[in-house]
Amino acid sequence: MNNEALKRLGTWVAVAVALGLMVWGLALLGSKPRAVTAGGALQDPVTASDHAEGNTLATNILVEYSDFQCPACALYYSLVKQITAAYGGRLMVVYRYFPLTTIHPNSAISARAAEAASRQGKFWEMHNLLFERQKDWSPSPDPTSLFADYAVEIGLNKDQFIADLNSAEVAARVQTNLESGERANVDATPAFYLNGKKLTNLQSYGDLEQNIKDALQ
Amino acid sequence: METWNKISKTLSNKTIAVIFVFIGLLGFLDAAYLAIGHYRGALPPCSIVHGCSQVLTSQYSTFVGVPVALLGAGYYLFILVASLAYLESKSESMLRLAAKMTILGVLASIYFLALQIFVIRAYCLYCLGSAATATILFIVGRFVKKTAAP
Repeated sequence: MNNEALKRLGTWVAVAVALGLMVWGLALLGSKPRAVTAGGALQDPVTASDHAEGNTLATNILVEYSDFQCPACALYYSLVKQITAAYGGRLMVVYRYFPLTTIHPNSAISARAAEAASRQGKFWEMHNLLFERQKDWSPSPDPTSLFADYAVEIGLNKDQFIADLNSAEVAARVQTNLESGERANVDATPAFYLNGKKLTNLQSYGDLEQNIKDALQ
Repeated sequence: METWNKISKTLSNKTIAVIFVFIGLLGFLDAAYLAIGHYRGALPPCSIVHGCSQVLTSQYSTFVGVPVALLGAGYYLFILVASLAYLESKSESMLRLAAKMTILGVLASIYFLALQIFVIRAYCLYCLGSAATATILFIVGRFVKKTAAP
C-alpha cells in the first residue's frame, strides 16, 4: 500500500471513529436518568366515588391520572393490569380522567364513554376496551357510534349509554377529575401517585413495579 | 434570476460539499438521537407541552417495521459520506449523486410535515429540525455545477 492510499484509509477510519463516538455520546446522553415529569402530591384523597380495583380496603393506593387517547397511557394500561394482577390483593388501583383535550380531540368523549359505562356498573370493562382499541377510535372524527357498539358488546343498554354519554352530570364528573389532577400538578399522562406521592421517574415497567414493591414491604 | 446567478457564483462545489457535510452531520445526529430513543423503548408520557410522544409513538413512526428515524439517519449518513468522498477524491459524480438524493429528503420531509399538521395534529421539535436540515440540503443542492472535466 502506498502512502496516498494509507492516508485515504486513515481519513475514512477517522471519520468512522468520529461518527461512532458521536452516536455513542448521544446514547449516553439519552440514558441519563432524569425525572420524566415534575413532582407533586395528590390533593384530593380517594373516595368511594372513585373508580377502583384490586383490594379497595388496602391502605396502599395507586392513583393513575390517564387519558384514553394517549398512546403512552395505552402502553401503561397493560403494565397497570399486570401490577393489579400481581399485587391487587394488597393494593388499591384507582383510575382518574385527565383528558388532554388540546392534543387529543377524542380524549373528552372517551372519558365520558367510560363514565357513562360506569353508570351501568361497567366502568372497567369500557376502560379496557377503550385502551385495547385505541387505534380504532382515536382517528375517528366522531367515535360516538363506535363507543355505542362497545357498550352493546359489554352488555350495556345502548340508549341509556348514549343518554349518559351526552349528559351534563357525566361531563361534570370528568371535569372534576381533571381539576383534581391539575391541583395535583399532573403535567403529562399517565401520572401515577403512590400513597399520595407522585412518581416522577418511570422509564419502564420495572420502575413502576419497584416503587410498588417498596411501598408494600 | 440575477440573485440566483450571484449565489450560484459564490457557491463553488467545494463550498456546497462543506455545507453538505455540516448540515448532513446535524441531520444525522438528530435522526440518530430519535432512532436511539425508539430502540431504547422508553415510554414517553403524553404531555401538553411537547407533542413528541404523540408523533414518535404514532403508527407513522415506522415504515414496514423500520423506524423512520433510522431511515432518516441512513439518509443523512449517505449525504455526509458522499460529500466527504467528493472533498477527498474530487470525484464530482459523488457530489451530484448527493445533490440528487436531497430531493428524496425534501419529499419525505413534506410528507412527515403534512402528517404532523393534518393527521397526528402534534409536532415534534426534532422532526421539525430534520425537515429544516433536509430543506437546506435540497436548496443548496440546486447550486451544484457541472464543471468541465479536467
